[in-house]
Amino acid sequence: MTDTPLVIAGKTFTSRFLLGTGKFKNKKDLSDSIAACGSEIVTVALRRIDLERHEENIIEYIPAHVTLLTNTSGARNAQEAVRIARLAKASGCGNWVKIEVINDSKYLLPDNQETVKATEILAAEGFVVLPYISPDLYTARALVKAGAATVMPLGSFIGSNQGLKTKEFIQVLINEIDLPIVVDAGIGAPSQAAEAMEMGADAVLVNTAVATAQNPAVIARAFALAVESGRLAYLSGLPLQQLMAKASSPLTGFLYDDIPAN
Amino acid sequence: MRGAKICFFGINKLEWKLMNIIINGKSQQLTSAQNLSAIVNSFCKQPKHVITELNGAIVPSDQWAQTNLQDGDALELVTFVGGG
Repeated sequence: MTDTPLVIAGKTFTSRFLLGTGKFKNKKDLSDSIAACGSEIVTVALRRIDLERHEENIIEYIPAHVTLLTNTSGARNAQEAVRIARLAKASGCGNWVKIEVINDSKYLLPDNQETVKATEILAAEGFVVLPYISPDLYTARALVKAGAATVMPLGSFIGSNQGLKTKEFIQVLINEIDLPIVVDAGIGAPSQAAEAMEMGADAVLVNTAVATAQNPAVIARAFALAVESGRLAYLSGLPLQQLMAKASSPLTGFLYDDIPAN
Repeated sequence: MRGAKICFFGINKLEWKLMNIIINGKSQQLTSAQNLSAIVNSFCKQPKHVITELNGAIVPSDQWAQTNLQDGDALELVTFVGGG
């Protein structure tokens, strides 16, 4: 079965698995993981340079064909997200930005309203904007209007590995929003990534589950396969769940005509 | 800024004026006027993919050599790190 490729802002991608680059023990694990999963979109963050320490340049570990998606982590409001996005663009590494506005340090939930505001400003400036939100239909509609390139709803708390706790709300976005839906945050195992894809998500983004696994490159590959598998299942026209049992084998007795009644 | 100052009593005295700038939130003393290109190269151990913001305004790397720092300037030096 042939699939249509993932298209974001007019750019075509074969892989539907996006990888985050935080928390890796070392840069070799990171580059091995990118190679193993074949991600074509990879997220990075921006920070003040530590003037006392020599830090390796992360960009050198990301292959040139991979699209860099800079997140606005650290931003507490729309204004700070806009500032970070503009700085990232000034690096010459592209204009793709993942809006991430968080001002709650306990649950680390994204601020949907500020995210919409930042998206409006940055999309108008020509950025390709991928906003990260708590799954909410009205926010997603506002993002479409604001010029977002995708909508990225969270599956569960960031870094929690809890999977699709927001499943029903993500399904609403998949059904109603005419933009690629990229499930981001909380996906802790390949089975959960497959589940998101079976629901009809267009892609998933994973960081913690890969970076903190004992062997990141191996799980990165497992995630890529799960995403592909889940996508195929979705395209197959996955049968609906049934409340009652339905036999898979012929409904006759083995030697007799009827299954004996109790 | 380096300047010569003539002493009131007729004795010439060179006075080296130190320049204070804030880099990434910390006060730094520079002994001479420097342009942004020199600052980036002396303060950043890995100058590639460094982005600069001077007093809140982004300075593109092709303008670093022409941008001279003034006493009291606030400079941010940022770069890419791992993130999800």
